[in-house]
Amino acid sequence: MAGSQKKILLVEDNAELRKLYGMFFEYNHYTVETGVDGDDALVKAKEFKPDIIFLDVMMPKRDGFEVLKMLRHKPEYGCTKAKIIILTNLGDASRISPEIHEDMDAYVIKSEIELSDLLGIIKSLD
Amino acid sequence: MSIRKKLSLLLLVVGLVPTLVVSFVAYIIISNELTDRTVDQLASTAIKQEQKINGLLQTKQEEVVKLSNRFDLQSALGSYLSNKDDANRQAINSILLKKKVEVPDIQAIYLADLEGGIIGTTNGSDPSIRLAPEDYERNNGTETVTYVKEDERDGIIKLYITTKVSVNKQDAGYLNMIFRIDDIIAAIQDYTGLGATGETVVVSKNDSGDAVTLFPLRFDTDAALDVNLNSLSLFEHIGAPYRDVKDYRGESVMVAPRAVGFADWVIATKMDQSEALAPINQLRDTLILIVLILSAATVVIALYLTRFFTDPILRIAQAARLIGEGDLAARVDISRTDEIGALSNSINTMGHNLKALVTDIESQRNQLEIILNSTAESILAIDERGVIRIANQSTAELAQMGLHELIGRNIKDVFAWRHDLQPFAVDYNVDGTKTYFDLQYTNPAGVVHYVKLIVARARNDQDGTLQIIVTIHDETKSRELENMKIDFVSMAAHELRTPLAAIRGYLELITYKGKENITSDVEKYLKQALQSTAELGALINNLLNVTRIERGTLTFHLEKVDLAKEVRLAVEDVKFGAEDKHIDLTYEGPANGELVAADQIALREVITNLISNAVKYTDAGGHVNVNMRDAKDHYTVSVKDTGIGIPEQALPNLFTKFFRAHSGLNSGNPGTGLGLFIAKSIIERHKGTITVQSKEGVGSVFTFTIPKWNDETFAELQAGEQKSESKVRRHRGWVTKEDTSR
Repeated sequence: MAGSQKKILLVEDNAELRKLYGMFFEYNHYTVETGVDGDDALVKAKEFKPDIIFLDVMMPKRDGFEVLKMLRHKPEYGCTKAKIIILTNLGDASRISPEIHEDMDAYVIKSEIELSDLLGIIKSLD
Repeated sequence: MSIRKKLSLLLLVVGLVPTLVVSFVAYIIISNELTDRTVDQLASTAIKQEQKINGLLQTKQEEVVKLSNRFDLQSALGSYLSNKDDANRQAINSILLKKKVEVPDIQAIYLADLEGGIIGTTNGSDPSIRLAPEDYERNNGTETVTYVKEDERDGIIKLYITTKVSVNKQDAGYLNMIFRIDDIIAAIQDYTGLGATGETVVVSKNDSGDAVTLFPLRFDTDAALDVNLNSLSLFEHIGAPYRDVKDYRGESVMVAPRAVGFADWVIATKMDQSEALAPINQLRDTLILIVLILSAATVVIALYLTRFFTDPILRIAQAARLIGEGDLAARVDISRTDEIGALSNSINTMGHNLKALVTDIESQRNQLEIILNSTAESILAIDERGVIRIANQSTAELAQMGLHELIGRNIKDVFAWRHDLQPFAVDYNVDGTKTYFDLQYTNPAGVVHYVKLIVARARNDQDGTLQIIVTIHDETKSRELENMKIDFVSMAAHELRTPLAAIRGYLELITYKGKENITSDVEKYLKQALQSTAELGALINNLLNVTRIERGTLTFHLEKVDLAKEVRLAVEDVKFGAEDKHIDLTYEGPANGELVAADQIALREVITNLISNAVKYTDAGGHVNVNMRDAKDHYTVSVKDTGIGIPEQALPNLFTKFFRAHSGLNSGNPGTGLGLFIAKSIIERHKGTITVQSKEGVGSVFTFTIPKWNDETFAELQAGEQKSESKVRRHRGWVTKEDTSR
């Protein structure tokens, strides 16, 4: 399968969504690692070296935008080239500044997507 | 000028003027009468004196004439002239002497020849005694000459009378008699009828034409023949009394001169003016005294009368002034039954009523104050310049100031308003009532209050002053509640989304992963569940959109949007659902190429919402027609259905939050009542309008307009939005940067 070699880091503080998205990606033959908050995301990114990162915005300890900036600009995490997709709620879209636009590859509004859309995004970024 | 002065003056004028006029006229009449009488009396005295003196002189002249006509004297003179011897002289002398003895007044008699030589005399043989030649020269004719002269020998003034003596009808000599004039002087010095200053003056002209007094004067006994009385001009006023001239003493006198015919003399009686007019002066003094007494009496009466009238008036005025100054208990203590009494009663009644009125007003004011202070709203009354006249407790609390501190200050200094974070100037001088919404006021402690301000301005019809009432309605609390409500809805919606996303995800996962293990029935149920979660998601999104609209945080990403394409695609999106319901959905209008400035997603939401609604409320077999037209500077999109329509009474509230024309339970059509509210908000944010026409049972037409694209419209709309540099195109749900390159 096309995505079998790809590694996805899924950072999401909501356990249900984390489990759901994780199951969905694994079902579609991606290697999945999960993170539960901002700090965890940084640790996992460094260890796991993912190709694709799904990053929630509203998280404990460190929010997604901050994590995005660090991953993108700090080579020590090894993720400067990774595809980073921001998971947002509808209201957070307005908080996306031009700098964030530069750093991220795409964003999704969680309540409005279907699971299959997640695959669509990944494919569109290939 | 006070009434007291005016009244006094009036009384003085009324009282004194007639007195003065009568007195003056009486004085003039009486003084003229008196003067005339005095003058007449003087004149008659003058006549008497003239007759008397004339009589005395005539007697003496007759003596002389009688002797000169005597035959014995004429024959003796003739004898002597023919024979000048002592015997003849003796004869003459004896005749003369005999005459002298006969008439005691005669002091001496002389007979002289025509040359003046003495022929005979009663003075013995003293030849030195003779008449002065001029005494004869005076007699330049046949007449008798009478004059007064001082006897050089004894210094006594005597009367000299000379006449001619004829012998055989030929002038032969002069007869001269010298008389003592005691009788004449006695007559002159008889001052009967001449008072204390009157006298009779006898004058004659001397050789140089001066009027010389012949006899002693009353006040200058040595004046005879010596004092010149020319200044009296006696000879020019004979027979006509005149007055007011100065006499030899320098006194003003009245004079009545008369001529003594044969002697060429003038007799004048005179009297001092001061004496002659004394009664007049006395009368004048009396009159003046009367006038003075009357004046004094008038003044006293005037003072009394004015006092009588003005005193109570002053007291009434004093009471009125006290009442005017606020001492409403002031009364006038006058118990009279006349008009003044009525006036003071009126003042007292007025004071009483005024006090009652003020008490009433005060109690009303207290009530008003209690009402004012018990309202939650801040109420102020200000004047034209904005100075605070009245303020209630609530105002003081809002401004965090004492009431006394507040009153008298300008409202602009106390309340600085802001609107949308900008300073906002309220015009307090606009006529009528004006309401300002959403103003902010930061009190001295830094607490922000959201207020509604009502300025009501009216002109007082009576005095033209302005009455401005400012009401401040503090909406901070209700706004906080509203915000709390929005916060709650927002939070609830947010919290609902994550579990919803999970539910949806799992449902999808089942259909995705376990397809082969489930029956077609279960698959149908799963799809229905997915459909419901999608609807629930849309509902939650609508709730969130509403909270954003309420907070003003709904932001748009404006760009050039092809309206025709959006409408066409929306129609296509809904088409399948319509076909399922057997509804004929059609589109009339251009396929693409009609540009507007809009937020693409928001605009699509509006269009989809209107079409979905139309489909939703139309029964099977009905029609839904979507139409797009070019209308000059804007486009019009209408969605027309043959659905159930909207009740007429529901139309005005159709675009408000949570409003549904039909109860969802009755119609069987679910809905949140938010779609039209959001659609209206979105369209209006794009400077468009949205309207509806509907008839129950026939169908509805929803129409919205949106301005055509041009740079100006775009700039105008953009100015209202927070600037966004976004170049990322959005699709429903997810967005990638690559989209921008499409």
